[in-house]
Amino acid sequence: MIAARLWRAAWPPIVVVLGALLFWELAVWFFAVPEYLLPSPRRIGRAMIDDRDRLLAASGRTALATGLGFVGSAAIGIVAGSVLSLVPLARRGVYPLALLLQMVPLVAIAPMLVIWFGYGLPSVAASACIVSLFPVVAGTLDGLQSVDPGLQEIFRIHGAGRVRAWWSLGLPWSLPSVFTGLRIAAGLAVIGAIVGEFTGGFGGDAAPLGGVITSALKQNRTPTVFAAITLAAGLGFVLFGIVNGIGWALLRRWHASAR
Amino acid sequence: MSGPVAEVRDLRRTFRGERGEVEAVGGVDLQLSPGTITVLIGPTGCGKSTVLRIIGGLDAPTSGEVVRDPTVPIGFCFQEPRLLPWRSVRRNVALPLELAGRSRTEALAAADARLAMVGLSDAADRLPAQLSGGMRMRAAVARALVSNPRLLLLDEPFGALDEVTRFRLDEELAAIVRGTGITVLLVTHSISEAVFLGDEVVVMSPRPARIIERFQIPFPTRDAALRGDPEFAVMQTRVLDVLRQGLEATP
Amino acid sequence: MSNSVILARLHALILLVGAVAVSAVPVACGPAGDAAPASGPRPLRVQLNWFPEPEFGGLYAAALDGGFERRGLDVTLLPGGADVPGPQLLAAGKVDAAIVAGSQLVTLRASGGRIVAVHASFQKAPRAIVVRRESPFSTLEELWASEGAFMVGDGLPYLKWLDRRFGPSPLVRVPYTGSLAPFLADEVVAMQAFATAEPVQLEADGVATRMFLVADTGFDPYDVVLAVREEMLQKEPEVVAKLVEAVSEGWDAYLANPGPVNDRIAELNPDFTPRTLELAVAALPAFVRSETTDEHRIGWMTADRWNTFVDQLIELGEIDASARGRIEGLFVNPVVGSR
Repeated sequence: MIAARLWRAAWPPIVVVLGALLFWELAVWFFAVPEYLLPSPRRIGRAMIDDRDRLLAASGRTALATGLGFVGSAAIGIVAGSVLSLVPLARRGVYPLALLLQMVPLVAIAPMLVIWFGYGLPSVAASACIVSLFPVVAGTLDGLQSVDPGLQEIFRIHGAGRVRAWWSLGLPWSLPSVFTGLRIAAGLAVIGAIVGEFTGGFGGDAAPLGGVITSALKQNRTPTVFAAITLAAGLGFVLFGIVNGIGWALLRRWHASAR
Repeated sequence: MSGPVAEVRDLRRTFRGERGEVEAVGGVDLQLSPGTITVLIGPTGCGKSTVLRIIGGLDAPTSGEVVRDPTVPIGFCFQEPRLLPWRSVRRNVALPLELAGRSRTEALAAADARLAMVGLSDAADRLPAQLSGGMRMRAAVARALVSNPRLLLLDEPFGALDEVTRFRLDEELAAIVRGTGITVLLVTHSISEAVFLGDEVVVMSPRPARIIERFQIPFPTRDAALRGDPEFAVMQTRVLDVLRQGLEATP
Repeated sequence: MSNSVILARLHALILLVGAVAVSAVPVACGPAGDAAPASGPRPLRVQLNWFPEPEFGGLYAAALDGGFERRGLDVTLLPGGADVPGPQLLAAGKVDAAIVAGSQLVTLRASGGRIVAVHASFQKAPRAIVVRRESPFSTLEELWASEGAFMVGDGLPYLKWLDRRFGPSPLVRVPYTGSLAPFLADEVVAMQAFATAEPVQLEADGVATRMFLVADTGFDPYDVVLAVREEMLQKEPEVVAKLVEAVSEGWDAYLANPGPVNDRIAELNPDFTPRTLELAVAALPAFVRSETTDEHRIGWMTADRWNTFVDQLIELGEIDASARGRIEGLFVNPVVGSR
């Protein structure tokens, strides 16, 4: 049943992607676009196969940093959103600042992350975390602010404290919007990791996807650049899928969003 | 017999809204005698729910006096079932006990007993969304009863249900509550429900709510057979007449 | 691509996917031919590969002194940065000329890009690696054998060269974005540098450095190369020659009297102070002038130098030996009125 469900969800995008790839391949061939400007999908596929060891290792490094950053932003985001919801003064004072943080371009602060956290995994994960934090905070806060007042009254009647009400009512109630935030955060975490790698990732044999992109770009190896970009997108897709799966498992029994 | 379980004297409540002050309750005196069912009936929006909420401690009066022993456990039931959608019926019913710090086992055992009382044992493991409206209300009643309240406050609990379901739930509620010594305050706008359940039916005027008349309802038994009793119809007509007068007295 | 080839492919395409797909194909042009302007100054967009700095002094001098204008050129200098893909922008026809590294030019030609070097400001490659003066390394070889973080634009061929020369280095490479902060904070033991830029900047900031020139290890390409598209060179050789002449003249003017140009650079790039600019200009002649430039003019290139470099790149595996044919004709020393 799950397989059938998956297939039903998967076939339209698969058809679209295959169609787009075919179109791309033909367009590159037809207009004789040089490889260094836009390689064809087949050429990218070949780069992926030729460079598989390096790309696989790079994907692993980027995946680790993305995963750590995402788990960090999920944890910090849910806690921060909860604190903001429980403490009205903090909500009024801190939330606008959090919004401001969202506006600061990552590229501008990425070099500072290197100074603060050091090169490699710490600064890259921090970058992934910072970029993906806001949607989780916003999702958590929105959820907690929209808890049904009637249910809140039930908790009040039975003498539940704020923390207890948060745990047994607020959090479960907010799960759908927390997961909306997490789904957005999943894609952002990959972007954050790649940008972090541009400024703080290792190079040479220890290069993650961001490092492969910079170095291949300097060598005019455009197919490798695209191969790395494809893998980065794939990472985002996998993370999104995992988050979606967890959300579905948690919500499917009672929430419309998971049906 | 001891004194009333709860009592209000000259209760007034004014709300401050966007269009200035609105008087919802304009001087109400009420005594809830132990083991009786008191019914507040009046037109929609007259402020009768406000009286119930003040007695339950969910709202505070603008003036007047509320006398109630704060240690007396209260059970609440609202027009909406107010169940947690992610919890099974059993765990929803057990919620008040869990929040009171009782062990999970104890709470679930008590919940099962109340579910048996309202005839929901078979649905204990289902989620609220998998129940009919009437079953959800039964679960809400079971939850209101789970901590052995001595005072049960019912705020139009069956107002959103169809008439047949409503009649059946009224009959079941009568069977559960009468003779257990629980004191009940029921707010409703259904005359038949009021007369069927109440020992005393208090008719209220449109806003601001004031008491127009009190009826003592003499029927010794409250079961389905009562609905065919000519006296039952007469009683309903009398209540209806008073309600009409109340409505016509105000523009 | 000729029209007949397009027609042949069009036919095949119709057979393949039908006319529907064809009508959906947007007109995605490759490098567009530059139509010669009817009259007025010829507009030229020149992409630099770094922020405005003395490395581009000759170009800014020509812009400031009217060297371009006098030759009927309306030149716009576009500042670059760590990740501006100058060679690709040039090959794609987004700009008319670009400052690129010699290695970028060769690898792009090897993969089919038709761009040509027409001027090389630096006769000696200014690529350098910088450490703090108090660091224990007195030679590049010692540094190369040490551990620690090395801030560098990864993927540049000289890194492979050094690995080959001194053996694979245990230095960990971390990206260089143009910020000196990690070096100042001692997060890295060494950083890549442009001989006339970073060491000077660090010195002005009170940080004494030691600089190792990669050129001294035998890897000495033309590293600051002005390149144009082959197509433009063929269609408008005079425009290219005038551009080159103006840049060479600009360099002479800049080295003789750097003041006004430095003021302009400081205006465009506030990171520079008069002091750093002064120090940078003092270091320039050693790189810009040589016996060749004395004989010809600043920017002149020799086939020997280019050939050596191409051989080195093949040896390093940066390009395939089979690409030699495509690389052929990679540079020209244009002379005004030569045709």
